[in-house]
Amino acid sequence: MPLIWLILFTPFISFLTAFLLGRKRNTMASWLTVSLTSLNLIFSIILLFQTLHAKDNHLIYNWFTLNGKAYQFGFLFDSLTLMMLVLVNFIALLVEIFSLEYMENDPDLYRYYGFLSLFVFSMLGIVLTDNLFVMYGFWELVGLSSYLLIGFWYKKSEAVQASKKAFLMNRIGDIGFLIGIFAVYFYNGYSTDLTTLNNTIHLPTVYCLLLFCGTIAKSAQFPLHTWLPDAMEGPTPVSALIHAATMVVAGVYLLIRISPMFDESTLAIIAGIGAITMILGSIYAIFQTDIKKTLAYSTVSQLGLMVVGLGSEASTFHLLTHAFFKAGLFLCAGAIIHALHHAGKDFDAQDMRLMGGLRKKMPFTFVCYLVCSMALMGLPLFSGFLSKDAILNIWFLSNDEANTDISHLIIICSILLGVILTAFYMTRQIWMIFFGEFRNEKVDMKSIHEGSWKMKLPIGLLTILSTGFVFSLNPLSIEYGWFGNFIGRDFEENHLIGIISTLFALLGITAGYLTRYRIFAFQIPTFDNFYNKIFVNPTIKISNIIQFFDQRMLDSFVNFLADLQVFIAKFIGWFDAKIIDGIPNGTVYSAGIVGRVTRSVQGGKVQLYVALAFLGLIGLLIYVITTP
Amino acid sequence: MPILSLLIFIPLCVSLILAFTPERYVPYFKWITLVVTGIELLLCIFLYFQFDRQVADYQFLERYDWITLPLGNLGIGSIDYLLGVDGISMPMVLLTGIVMFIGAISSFEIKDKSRGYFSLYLLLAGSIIGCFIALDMFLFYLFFEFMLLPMYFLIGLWGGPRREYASIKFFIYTLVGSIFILIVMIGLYLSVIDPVETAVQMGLINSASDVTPKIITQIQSLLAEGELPAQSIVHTFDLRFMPDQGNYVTGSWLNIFSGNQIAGVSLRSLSFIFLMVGFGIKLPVVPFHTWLPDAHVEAPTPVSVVLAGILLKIGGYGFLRITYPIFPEIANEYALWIVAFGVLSIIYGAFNALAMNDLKKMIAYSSVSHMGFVLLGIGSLTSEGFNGAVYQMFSHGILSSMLFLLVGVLYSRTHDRRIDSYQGLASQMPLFTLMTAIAFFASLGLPAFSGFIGEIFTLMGAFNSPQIPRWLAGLATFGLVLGAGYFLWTLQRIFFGKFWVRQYEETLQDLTLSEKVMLYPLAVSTLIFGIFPRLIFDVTNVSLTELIKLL
Repeated sequence: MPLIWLILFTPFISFLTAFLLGRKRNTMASWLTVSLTSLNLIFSIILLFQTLHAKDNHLIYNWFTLNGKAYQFGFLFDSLTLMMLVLVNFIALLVEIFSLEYMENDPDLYRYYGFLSLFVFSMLGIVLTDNLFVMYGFWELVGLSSYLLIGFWYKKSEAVQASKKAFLMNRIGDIGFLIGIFAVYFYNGYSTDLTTLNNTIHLPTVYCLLLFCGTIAKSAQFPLHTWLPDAMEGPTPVSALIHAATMVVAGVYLLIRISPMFDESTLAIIAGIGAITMILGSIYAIFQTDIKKTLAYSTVSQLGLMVVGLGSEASTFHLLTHAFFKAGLFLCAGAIIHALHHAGKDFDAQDMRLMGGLRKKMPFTFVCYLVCSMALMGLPLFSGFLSKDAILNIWFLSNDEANTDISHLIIICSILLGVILTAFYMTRQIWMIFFGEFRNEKVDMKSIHEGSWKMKLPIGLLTILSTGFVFSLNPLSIEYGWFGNFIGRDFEENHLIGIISTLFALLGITAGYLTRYRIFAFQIPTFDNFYNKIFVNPTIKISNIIQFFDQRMLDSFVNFLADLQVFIAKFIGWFDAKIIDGIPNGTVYSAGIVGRVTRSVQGGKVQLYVALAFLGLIGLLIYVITTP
Repeated sequence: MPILSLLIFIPLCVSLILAFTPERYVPYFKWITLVVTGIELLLCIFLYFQFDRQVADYQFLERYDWITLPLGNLGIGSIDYLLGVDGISMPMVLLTGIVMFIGAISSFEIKDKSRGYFSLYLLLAGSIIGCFIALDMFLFYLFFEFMLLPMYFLIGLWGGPRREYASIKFFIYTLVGSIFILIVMIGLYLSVIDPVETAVQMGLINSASDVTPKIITQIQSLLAEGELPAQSIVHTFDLRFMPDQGNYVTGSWLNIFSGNQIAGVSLRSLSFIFLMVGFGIKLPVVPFHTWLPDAHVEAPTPVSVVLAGILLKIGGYGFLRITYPIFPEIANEYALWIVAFGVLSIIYGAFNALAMNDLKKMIAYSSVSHMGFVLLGIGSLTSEGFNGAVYQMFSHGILSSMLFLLVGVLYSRTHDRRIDSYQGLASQMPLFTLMTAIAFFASLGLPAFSGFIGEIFTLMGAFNSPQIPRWLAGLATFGLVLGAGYFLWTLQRIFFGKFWVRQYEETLQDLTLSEKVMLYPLAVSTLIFGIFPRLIFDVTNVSLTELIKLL
C-alpha cells in the first residue's frame, strides 16, 4: 500500500525541500510546506475512508535480522491511528497557515517550516508504527524536533535553556521507556508488536511502570512535568501544535496502546500520578501572569486527566477534543500576542497584567477564546463536556463494582476538584484579557487589530470543532455521537455525572468571577528549584570531583609511576657509577696504592732489602718449625 | 589477486618511496597520500561487497610459511604470513579505509616537515590494516607494535605545546599493554600446535592441502594421549587453531586441563586478565585511560581522527579476535567484572566530559564513555551485545572522526579550544553548526543515526544476559542521560546566544570546501548506517554467532 508510505514521507520531503530552498526563498518554503501538508491531510482522509474498520490493517516489513531474530517495522492503521493521522495533519495545517502571518517577518522562516515538517514526520511515525522499538525511534525524533522548535530563537538564552531542559527531561523518561521496551521484548518472545501487546501478557508492575516513564516525560506528568511550561519560550504556533495538541499527547497515545498489559496495581499508581498532575497543573495555572504559561499548566492538568482515564476510549476521546480546543486557545493567545507585538514596543506582550478590555478590539478572537475555554471547562454544549464526563464515568462505573473502594473516591474527588480549579483560572484569565480596562500604557489601544484570514481561519475552524454538536447530534449526550462507533466501543451516558460536573464548573466560574480583580502573582515554590538542588547541582559537583580525581589523583599516580621509574633509573645509574663501576675503579685505585707503596719500597735502599729479606727468612723459619 | 596483501603493502611501499624521494617533489606528497588512501578505500569497499555474508569462517585467506625453526625437543617453531577477514574484522577494515582517507584530506593542513609526516602516515595506514587482517598472532603483534612508532612521532613532532609529554605517555602506556600481550602470546605459542603442519611432519599427509577433518582428529587424539614425538610437533601462532582445545599440548601452560597456577590463580585466568589489560589500555578502559585525553589534546587534527577513529577499536577487536575465542570459559567466569568495568567507563567518562572546558578533552572523554558500551556489549556474552559492540566501534569510528574534525575546524580559525571562549556561533557559521549538531545528536544516541543502534544493542545484550544483574545494566543507561547532558550543554554554550568570541572580534569563516568534503560524507554515512543497520549486522552476524557458540 503506497499511500501509507506517502503519508509518512510527504512531511519528510517537505522538511528536506524547506532546507534546500534556504533563507533566500523563505516564502516559497512556507507555502510549499502548507501545500504539502494539505496534500497529506487529503491522503490521510482518503486512507481513513478506505481502511476504517478494515480487517487487514497491518503491514509488516523486515528491517534486519540478527542471530535468527527478525527485527521488523510496519504500519498499523486501526481507527486510533487513522484518527491520529487526520488529527495531526489537520492541526499541523492550521498551525502552518496561522504561522504564515505570525512568523511573517522572521529571517529563518525556512528553518521554522522545515522543523515543523520534521515534527509532523516523526509524530506520524509514532502513530503509524506497529512496534515499540521503531516507535521509540520516532519518539526520540519527536523530542529532537521539539528541542529544535523550542530553541528556534536560539539567540534568546531562555529559549535555549528551555529546549535543553525539555530534551533532557524527556531523555530521563525515555530511558525508563527503553528499559521497559527491553522487558516487553523478552517477555513477549522477542517481539514488541503492538497487536500482540494485550492482556495475555502479565508484565510485572515494575516493567509496566518503566514503560509508563515514556508517558510521564512526553506527556509532562508529575514528576517530570516542569519542562512543559518552560517550553512556552518557543513560537506560539509551535506551542499550539506540539505542546498542546499533538506531541504531548503522544504519551497518552502510548498509554492507550500499552494499557491492556497493565495489572490493577499499575493502573492504580498511574491514576494516582495522573490525578496529582491534574491538581498540580491547575493550581500552578492560577498563579501565572503569562498568558501562555497559564495555558501550558492547563495543558499539564488536562494531560493528567487523560492519564486518569487510564488509556481507555475515554482518554482517546478527551485527547481528540482537547487537541481542538487547546490548539484553539493557543492560537487565540498567539493572535493576541501578535496584535500587541505590532502595536507597541518594549513590553512583555504575553503578560496578562498588561492586557484587559481586548474584547472590543478583537471581538472575533474573544468569541473563539470564550468558546474554547468553555470546552476546556467542560460546560454543556461544548466538546470538553462530553469527553470529561466520559472519563469521570469510568470511575463512577467501576466504583459501583468495587463499592467501598476509597481510592476510587479520591480519584473522583480530584477530578471534580480539577474541574473547579480549571473553571476558576479560566474565568479569571478571560476576565484579565478581555474585560475591564486596557492596562498597558505603552500601547495605543487604537492600533490593536485582528489578524487577516490566515489567523482567523484556523482559529475559527478550531472553535467550531470545540462545540459539542460536532461530536454528537445531541451535544448533551455522547450516546448519540459518532465517536463510539468510530473507535469501536459504546459509551454509556450517565446524566447524573453531567449535572454534577456542570455544577462544579459553575462553582469554579463563580469563584473566579468573584476574585476577578485580584491578581495572584506571588511566587510559589516550583519543582525546578528543588530539582536543581537535588539533581542538577550534585551532578555538576560530582563531575567536578571526578574530574579532580582523574587529573590530580589517577593521572598524578601515573605520572608518579613515571617519576618513580626515572628515580629508580637515576639510582641505578648512581649505583652503576659508584658501586658497580666503583669496583673496577677501586681495584685500579688500590692497585695504584699498592703500586705506589711497592714503588716506594723499591727505592734502592739496600739496608731495607736486607732487613726485609732477614725478616722474611725468620718468618719462613718460624713457619717451617711450627708446622708439624 | 592478493587483495589483502595489497591493502598492507601499497601504503608501506609508498611510504618507503616517499622517504627517499628528492626534495622538489615534497609538495606533491599530500596528493600522493590522498591517492593511496583513496585506492585503499576503494579496495576496502570492494572487499566489503565481495565478502560472503553467509560464511562464518575467514575469507580471502592468504598463507605463506614465513619462518620455520626446528627447536629440537621443543618441536618445530613456525610463524606464518597469514591474512584473512571475517565478520569481526570486515567492518574494521572498512572503517580503516574510510577514516584513513578522511584523515588524508585533513592532513592537507600539515605544512612543515611534510616528507616525514606523509611517510609516517602511510606507514601507519599499512600497519593498522595489517593489524586487522593478520591471523597469525605473531604477525598481529608485529603490526600492533609497528603502529606505535609512526603514532609516537606523529604526535611528538607535529603536536601541540605538550607534545613530548603526551607522545611519551602514549608510547609507554601502549608498550606496557603490549608487553602483557607478548607474555600471553609466548604462553600460547608454547601450548598450541598446528595439527595440519604436524600431520605433514608426521608424514600422514604430503602437503597441507590434503588435510581432512579425520586427520586433524587423529593428530589431536595422538596429542591428547601424548604419543606425538616431540620433534615433530609444530608450534604455531595461528589464531585459527587457538580456540580449539584439542590443539593444546597436554600439560602445557595454557592447556585447560593442566591446572597450572601461580599464587592460586590459574594460568589461563591470568592470561585472560593480561590480554584484557593489554587491549583494555588501547580501548581505553577506566582506569587505564589517562593517556587518551593528553594524546588527543596534543595531537594534530588528522592524527586525533585516526587515533579516535581506528586505534581505539583495536582494543575491542583484540577482545573479540583473541581473548574471547581462546579463553571462553574465563570470559564467562569474569563476565560480571568485564561489564562492571564497562559501566564504570561509561559513567566515569561521561562525568569527566561534563566537567571539561577544553572541547577536545570533552570529546576525548566522551570516547571513553562510548567505548565503555563496547565493553558492556562484549561482557554481556550475548549475540545482541557482541553485534552491538562491533557496531558501536564502527559507528564511533565515524562519529569521533567527525567530532575531532569539527574541533579542528574551530581550532584552525582561532587556535583556541576552550568552550567558554565561544558563544552564538550559529549565527556566523550555520553549516558548521549544522554539522556539529548532527555529530552531537548522533553521538548522544539519537535514533536514525548510527550511535543509537550501537548503544541500544549493547544495552539490550546487557539486559538479556543471565550473568549480569539488571541494576548494573540499568546503571549503564544513566550514561545515555549524561551523554545528552554534556553534548547539549556544549552545543548551547558554543553555538547559541549572541555571537561572541574571546580575543577575536572579526567574523569567523564558515566551512571551507575541503572541510565540507570531509564532513558531509561522514554525516551522510552515520545516517545511512543508522537507518540500515543491516549494512553492518549482516556482515557481523554469522561470525559472531559462531563465536557465541564457543562461549
